[in-house]
Amino acid sequence: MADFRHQAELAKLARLLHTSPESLGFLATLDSAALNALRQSATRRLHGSYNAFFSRVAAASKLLPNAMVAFIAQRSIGPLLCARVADAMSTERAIAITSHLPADFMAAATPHLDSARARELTAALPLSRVIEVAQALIRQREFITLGDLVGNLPMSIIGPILQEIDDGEALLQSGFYVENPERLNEMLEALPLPRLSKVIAAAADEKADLWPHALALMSVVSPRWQQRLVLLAVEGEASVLESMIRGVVKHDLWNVTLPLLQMMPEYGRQRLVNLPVLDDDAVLRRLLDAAARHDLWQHLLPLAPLMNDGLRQRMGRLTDELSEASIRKLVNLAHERELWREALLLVECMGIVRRATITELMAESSDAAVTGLIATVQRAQQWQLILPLLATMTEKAQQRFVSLPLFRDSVLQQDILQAADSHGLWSIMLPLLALMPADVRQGVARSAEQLDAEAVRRWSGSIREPRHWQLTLSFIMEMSEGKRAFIAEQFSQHDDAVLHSLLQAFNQEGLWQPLLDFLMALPIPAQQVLMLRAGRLNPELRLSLLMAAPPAARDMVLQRLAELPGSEQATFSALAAQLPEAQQQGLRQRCRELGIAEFI
Amino acid sequence: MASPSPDDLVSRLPGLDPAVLKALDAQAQQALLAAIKAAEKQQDRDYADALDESLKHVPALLRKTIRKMITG
Repeated sequence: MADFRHQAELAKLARLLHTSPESLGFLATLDSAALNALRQSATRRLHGSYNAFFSRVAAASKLLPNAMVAFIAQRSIGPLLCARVADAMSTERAIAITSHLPADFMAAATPHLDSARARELTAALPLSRVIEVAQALIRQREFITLGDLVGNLPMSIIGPILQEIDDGEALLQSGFYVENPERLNEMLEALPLPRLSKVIAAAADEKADLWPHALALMSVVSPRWQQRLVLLAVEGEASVLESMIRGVVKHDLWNVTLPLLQMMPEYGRQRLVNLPVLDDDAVLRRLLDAAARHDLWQHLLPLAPLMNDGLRQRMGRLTDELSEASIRKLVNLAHERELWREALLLVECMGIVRRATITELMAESSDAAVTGLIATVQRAQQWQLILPLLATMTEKAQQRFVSLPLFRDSVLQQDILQAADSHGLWSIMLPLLALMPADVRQGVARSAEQLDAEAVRRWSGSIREPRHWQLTLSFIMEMSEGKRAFIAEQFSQHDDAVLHSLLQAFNQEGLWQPLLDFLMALPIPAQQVLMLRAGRLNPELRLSLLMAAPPAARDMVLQRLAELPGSEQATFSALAAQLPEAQQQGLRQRCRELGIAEFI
Repeated sequence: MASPSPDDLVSRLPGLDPAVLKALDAQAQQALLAAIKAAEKQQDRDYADALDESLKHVPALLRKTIRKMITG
């Protein structure tokens, strides 16, 4: 994880100890406060070791006029010893001597001063000299010293200095070493707007590789300033964002960047997330890895709706490589932060194994969590995403889902039916209907009465499995008589293939009862239509239906057969003639009792 | 690796909260002590070099006296 404070402290300590930050890797376990304390202590040790010596030099220098001391300081003593001697002098005398020294020499001496002393002396200098020294420090790239000064001197001094610094890199580099975030806010307030643009431009100049510094700054300033800086980056040229993402990728700064993206307006996030630089498996792997390692799902998931389809597919596919523990975190977070709308978009693009894991975790979730998930799905109208997941759950888990009180809501029922229709998901919906508590199923049936003719035909036209016809007919039985007739009419208008599949569904299983129940429940004209179509498709089916029917249904079938046109009746009679004589007689007897023509 | 003498490191880091050092293992403490000693040596060299450089501008006859005067 990028801990910029830690990095800055390590750099300061390394400079004090005349070494590189990398060589202090053994201090990685210390936090930035401990590193700061260690540096302060080491400074006391190193700067205090020659106090007596420098006090004598300072005392000896009193024998000479200030201009002469300044001359000797430059020509002979040099910036290191001069700084130490200045530590041992009174402030008044040191300031008097500096009036004879050039700014570059003072800037070279400043890093060797004790920090507190450097601040004390700088504060006592005339403002114009402070500005000259600051500019010299920039030329000498002494950003740690400059950061310490701007971070600690009063704003009455820093404000005018900032007005004069026209160097975005210097502002970023020195800002990195400012310890107090509140001071960074004050500095930003004091900077003219064009200067801020220069800061962003400096960050975008990849030769200097300053995105870590820029993001460090953005990550600690106030939310108001975070927003302004992020806006500046977004509203700039596309190359700025491209460069930022390259910097983020290079230094693995997702943990800093993803939270900042929340500050961006949606168009900015959309622009950023679809940059070509992200369209790369290696980059996305690192992003997902960062999300998993640093718990960044709450920042990453909201980007899913903004991704173009290709990127989302790629991202979804790469989640297959994450551990199950990471996926579990994702699911928990989607529950906790109500991010299912976003998560489901990604889940849709995941491989079958990951989807199964997610489904399993969903099924394990508490009722409250699942209710939240369903409520989100309903709000976002994402039934087309959740229904395929529900389909892979165990029957017990499915039953638990569809028994939730939420499913009693008629608006939800209509929406789920609408989704099943518009996304061709009846094959998933039908088994779920069968698992619903009776009262819920009745409610859904009433909602289904709103389906228009086209929707009914799409529904029935999509059924492929015999069981789904059985489920369909039992579901239709929950509807009003008028609606059943309407549906039968739609069924009868299907082409032969669909009606064959309907009749075959019952014929194969030898289970005619659901079809008979359905026919019995229809108004007579609807029964007539279906009987006519059934005979034309396969005359033998009508005979099978008749022979399978219990008494009441048999009467209905006989009555409808008697109403068929003469040619249809003749076809039927020819088939019935193959029945044993006793059965034929029984049927004829029943026709007489019903007062219909003996067509058998 | 043996831990450095506690006094050695503590004496070189005046006023430091002992908890900071305790947070480092023996190896890290050893490395820290070495880094501080190296910095001290470097500082000694820097001061000596700077003093030598300074004294070059003093007339040769006076150099010894002035060096003694300021180094004590």
